[in-house]
Amino acid sequence: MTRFLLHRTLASLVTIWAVFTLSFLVIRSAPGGPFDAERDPPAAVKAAIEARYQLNQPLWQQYLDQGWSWITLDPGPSLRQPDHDVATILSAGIPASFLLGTLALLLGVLMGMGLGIIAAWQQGRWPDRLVTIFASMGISLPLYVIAGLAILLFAFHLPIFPPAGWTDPIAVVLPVLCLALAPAAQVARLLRSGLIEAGQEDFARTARSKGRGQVGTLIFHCLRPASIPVASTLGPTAAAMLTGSLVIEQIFAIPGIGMHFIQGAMNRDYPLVLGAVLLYTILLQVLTLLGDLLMGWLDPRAGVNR
Amino acid sequence: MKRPKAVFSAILSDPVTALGFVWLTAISLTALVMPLLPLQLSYETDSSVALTAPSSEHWFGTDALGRDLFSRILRGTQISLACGIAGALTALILGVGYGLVSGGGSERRDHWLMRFVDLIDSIPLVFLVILIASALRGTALEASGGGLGVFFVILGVVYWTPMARVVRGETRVLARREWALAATALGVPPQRVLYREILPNLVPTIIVTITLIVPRVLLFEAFLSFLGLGVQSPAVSWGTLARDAFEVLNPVKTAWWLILYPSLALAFTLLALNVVGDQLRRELDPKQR
Repeated sequence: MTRFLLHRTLASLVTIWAVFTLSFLVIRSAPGGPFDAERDPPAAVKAAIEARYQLNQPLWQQYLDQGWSWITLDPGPSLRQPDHDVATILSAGIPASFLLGTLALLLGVLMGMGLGIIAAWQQGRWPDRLVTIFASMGISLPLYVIAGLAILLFAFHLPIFPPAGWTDPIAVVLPVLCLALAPAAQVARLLRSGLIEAGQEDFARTARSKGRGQVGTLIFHCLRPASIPVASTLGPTAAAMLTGSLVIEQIFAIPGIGMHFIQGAMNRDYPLVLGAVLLYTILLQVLTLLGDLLMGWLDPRAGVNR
Repeated sequence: MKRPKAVFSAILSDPVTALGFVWLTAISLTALVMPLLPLQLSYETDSSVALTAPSSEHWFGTDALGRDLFSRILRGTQISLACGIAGALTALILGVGYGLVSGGGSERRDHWLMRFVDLIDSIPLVFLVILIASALRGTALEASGGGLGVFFVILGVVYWTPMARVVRGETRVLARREWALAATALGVPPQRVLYREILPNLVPTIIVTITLIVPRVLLFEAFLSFLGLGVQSPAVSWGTLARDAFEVLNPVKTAWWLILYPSLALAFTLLALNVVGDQLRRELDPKQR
């Protein structure tokens, strides 16, 4: 177990380092800079600005400095909002993004599990068909299409929810529902096929012949083995949700990290964008690791404990 | 490998798949003959008809600048499809080449090339691509129209690893088959075995993987364009159309057609690609026979 964790942590660090290096190279090789104006400032002013942000040092020196400033969690000021620290801007966005992501992930997994169990139980009948259609829609439709139709229906046509905002608790409902749809579809589809497969195993037949009902067998005997493929896709699902949260935050005007990230990308606020990319990368590594640990718990043969 | 004719009739035998196939053919043809159609309307702004609802004159209504939405969607079809095809082609070339080199080489080369793919896969490329897109914004390259080309390549670069993995795996399996060993025993050089014997047998696998990649590239294009980091005005794609729609979204005057129609165009295309792709996979996947 310790060895597994150690190995995974090391691999994650290599990934984070690779992301940082690639991002640094992209930023430095990008033509033009954040201080390019319509008219070039006098050479002395430009030199002074560049000196302030250490842009006049050799590239390797900048690379090391940048790396160190991120390790010490002190990335310095934003280029476009010089009065604000990148760390401050990003941490101001964390609560909203965290709430949105956590609620959507929980809701998505719960909804997906419920639908998957119903579909496997009613296999071949209309509830199963409905769930299958829902799953293929949820997987193939882009999020903005779902969110757009949801706003048209539930905010304008039937004014139940506000179309944007984050201050009212009721405003949270629509964005969370929209973001939860894709993971719910994914979980439902995987769990359905997993449950149907496990239901044909000998242990399931034994359980049924002991007098456990159809649903009881599915929930108490088949659910654990059927959840393994679900846990193994937690990483990719989390990645899809992170990209999805960018769209959702944009559409519903939610003041999260995604909004700062897109803003920063639009006006080339490199430290801010780099910070968001690193934050997303770390989050993704943690979620993937959690998925692997969950898989090890569900299936001791997966080799996590060795 | 099954004959193309048999695959084709299998696609047309199922009504839903046939419908998807007809849709894909129709939009591809529309995108191809677009330059011949009288659609100059799509760039002409006319403030007197701004944000009018669908009517017999403007089938899908007009946008905030009075441009006909129907012709703009048709224009968007061109670029969105081009993105899908160009991205898939890039992924095809990179992935097949890398997979062949890795799977057909020595164990050691294979091991290290695959560790590199693992590293790439652990990077959330979507966020890195947003960074690259932001670095490209407003540069001379983009102004000269090259931005769109770079954008196509970026889309392919994101999705080449699944192709590389699949091709590498199949190559290793096929290289141990009797006919491949026989060719080697007859003295055919390894490179030639790889390209003349193994590559043709990879075609079904490659087609199956492509059908999985194209919808993902389309989705990613729509995603980036929607965020304002993809296709740039005056060019239009389905993603930029949806972006424009959300910008003028307000409850007082709901321009629902601006959201609905571009969304439906993308949604139908993705669903069609999925059902046709599923059928192709059932017919072609070597593992399912």
